[in-house]
Amino acid sequence: MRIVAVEPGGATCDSPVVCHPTPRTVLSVPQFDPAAAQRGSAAVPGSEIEYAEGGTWPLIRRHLLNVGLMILTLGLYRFWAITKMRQILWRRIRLAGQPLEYTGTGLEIFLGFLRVFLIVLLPLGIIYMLIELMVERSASATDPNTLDILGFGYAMVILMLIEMGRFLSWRYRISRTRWRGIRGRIELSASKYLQVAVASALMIILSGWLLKPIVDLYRAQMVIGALNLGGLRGRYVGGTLRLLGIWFAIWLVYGAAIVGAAVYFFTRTAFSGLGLDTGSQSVVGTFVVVFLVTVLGIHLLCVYRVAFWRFVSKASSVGPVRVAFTGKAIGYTWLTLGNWLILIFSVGLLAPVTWERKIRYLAANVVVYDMPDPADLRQVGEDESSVGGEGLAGDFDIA
Amino acid sequence: MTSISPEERSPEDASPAGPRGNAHLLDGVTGVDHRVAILVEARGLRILPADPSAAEPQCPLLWPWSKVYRPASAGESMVFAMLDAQDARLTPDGADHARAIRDRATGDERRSGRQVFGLTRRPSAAVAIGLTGLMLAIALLALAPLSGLAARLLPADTGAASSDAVIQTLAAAHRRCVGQEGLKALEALNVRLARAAEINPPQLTVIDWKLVNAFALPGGRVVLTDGLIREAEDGSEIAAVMAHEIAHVIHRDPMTAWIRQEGVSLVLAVLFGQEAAGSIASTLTGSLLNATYTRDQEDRADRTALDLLAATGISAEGGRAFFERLRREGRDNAVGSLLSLMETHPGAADRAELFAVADTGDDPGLTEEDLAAVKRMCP
Repeated sequence: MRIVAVEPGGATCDSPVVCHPTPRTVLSVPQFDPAAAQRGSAAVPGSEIEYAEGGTWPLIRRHLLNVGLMILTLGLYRFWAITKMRQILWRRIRLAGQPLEYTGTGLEIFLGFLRVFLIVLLPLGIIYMLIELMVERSASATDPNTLDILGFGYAMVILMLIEMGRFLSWRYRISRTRWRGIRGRIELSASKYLQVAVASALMIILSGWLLKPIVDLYRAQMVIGALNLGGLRGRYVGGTLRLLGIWFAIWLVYGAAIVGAAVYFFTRTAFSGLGLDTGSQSVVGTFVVVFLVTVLGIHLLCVYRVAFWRFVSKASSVGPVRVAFTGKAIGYTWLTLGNWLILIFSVGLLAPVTWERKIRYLAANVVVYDMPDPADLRQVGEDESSVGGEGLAGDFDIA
Repeated sequence: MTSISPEERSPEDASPAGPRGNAHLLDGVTGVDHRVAILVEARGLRILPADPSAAEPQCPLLWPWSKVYRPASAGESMVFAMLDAQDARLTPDGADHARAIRDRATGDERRSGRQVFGLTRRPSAAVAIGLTGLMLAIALLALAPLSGLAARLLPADTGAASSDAVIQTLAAAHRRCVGQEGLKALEALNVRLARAAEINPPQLTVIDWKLVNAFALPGGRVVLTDGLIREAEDGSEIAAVMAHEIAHVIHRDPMTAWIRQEGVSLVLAVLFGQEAAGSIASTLTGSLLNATYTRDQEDRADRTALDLLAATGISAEGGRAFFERLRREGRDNAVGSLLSLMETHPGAADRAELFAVADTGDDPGLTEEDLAAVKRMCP
């Protein structure tokens, strides 16, 4: 890379950094250097997401500092800690060679958290307390159905709040993510998504989680349909029924595993009644069976999630950008279990390792292609949601 | 073209026009990565499009130093932004150019974006945390009077069902004492004291439990243990304890404590987050706060109990004897001063002194026959 300064007489200075023109010299615009443009806008060098390795130690060091500051501030620093970490992780993720940028601030998340706490959680808590007191006053005269309805309503509100928390968190994070200086955004109001949250909570509770895939895909449809990168709009063409088959199959397999475990315990009990089983054998056997059923449950959930991502990525696009997910369930299960083990054995101090593992997994399995011409990528709308923050996500620690 | 003054030049960039170099500019309007040359001038950073055939960047091309800053989102990378075009990002190719810009840039990122509460710049983490901590401390201090006020606004029987459930659970582990003679005597004392307080008599329960204890629950419920009754040497001892518990009922202290605990939980949830609200730190803080409030309530209940004893002419000597025995038997603050912060009751010596100096009357509250009947309640 070099600067070429042109003097009025046509003489050039080709110092790589600085020219020293004569006093009469008026600096002109440096001439266009074609070699320099190759790193610029003409062509997008790659089409896949990559994770630019910057070493895990700087992340751990920052995390330890964050933990220290959180202890000193009785936990209130957590909003700034999240922000610092996101800033580092975001800029290590490169899309077509250009890093993502996280522009959110700790203050925004903190104020969003306070706002939701004061406007939603505190009044809800007081209302819940008053209902509890009213029911208590006349508990003997209260119809058991009323108590059931109250319990149902409470579960609904909690599920809905968690769902809203997730949505507000996505919306905030997307609005604070830039690529090539262009902001992302989700053009979906919280009140509109509240309807989705209510419907989701109702369907999930009433169906006993059987209709979860429909709810998941419907939510994906809503969010991706409202997703934008500058002027590029998101699109989802995939329907909401496609994952029901795999979901039912998962239930059947897991149901069979539970029945198998029950048969095992029943047989054990019968044998121990006959004195054919020792206590230690019984403990080891129980542990092994419970462990296997738990791991199977986690794996089946991972099977579903991988199927979900494969389907959703295939059905989604943002402008010309297409995404494919190539991950396998076994890899995702290993990622999930490995991260749990790391968190448990390091008492959370190695959390950055788990975040990096997740991002590396995504970078290795998400393929982004048909990148847009940067000239077609235009900033749209004002920079909003700065005060909204993540809202409920901060309240429920699901950020 | 503006020249840079000599004193503003860095030694290695001693050019009249300042250092120039190639850089990348994202103008924040389109995704195009503009190739530009940058000039360090006295007024600011001048940006010159390097490719005459390409579209011009759509952001300001002179960035005054007072508005140039390094966005925190870029970390250690030498990326620059400008307050009037916060979406634009400039990345110089050379480290020397970057250093020259960094040394001159005086923009404050906290002035960028939408501001909060009409401030000209966003508060730093330290200021925000400090102010919030202060407000939470005030909220915690205000909780005591507010919870008392809320408890008074609620009907007197609020929480009775829950209290009955607690008593039932207790009775499952330690059976109820149902000796009719004793119950009748205690009930008469209960009515006498409640009448003096001008409230409905609380619902009284005696539990067959060796622990020396008595407590009031929300909704006007008072529980005495057999351990306490058996230790009583005089009817006025039981009368003093009952007067103390009835005083709690008068002041709605159990309901106040419940509301306050819920409030403390909410405040702690703000401090520590939902997940960590039950952690050691929050539990310790909660216990300390609750203990301070409870000591005040106990002190007030003692004084009200003396008023009730005076109104009914019952001797306060029983109260003195009861607390004196507690002190002698070391059930009081034998622990150090730090742990005494966690104590929920005032010291037994002070309480004994309070009852000793009070002249409330000579009536024992329970006759010797009544006391004997009460002691027989739990065979």
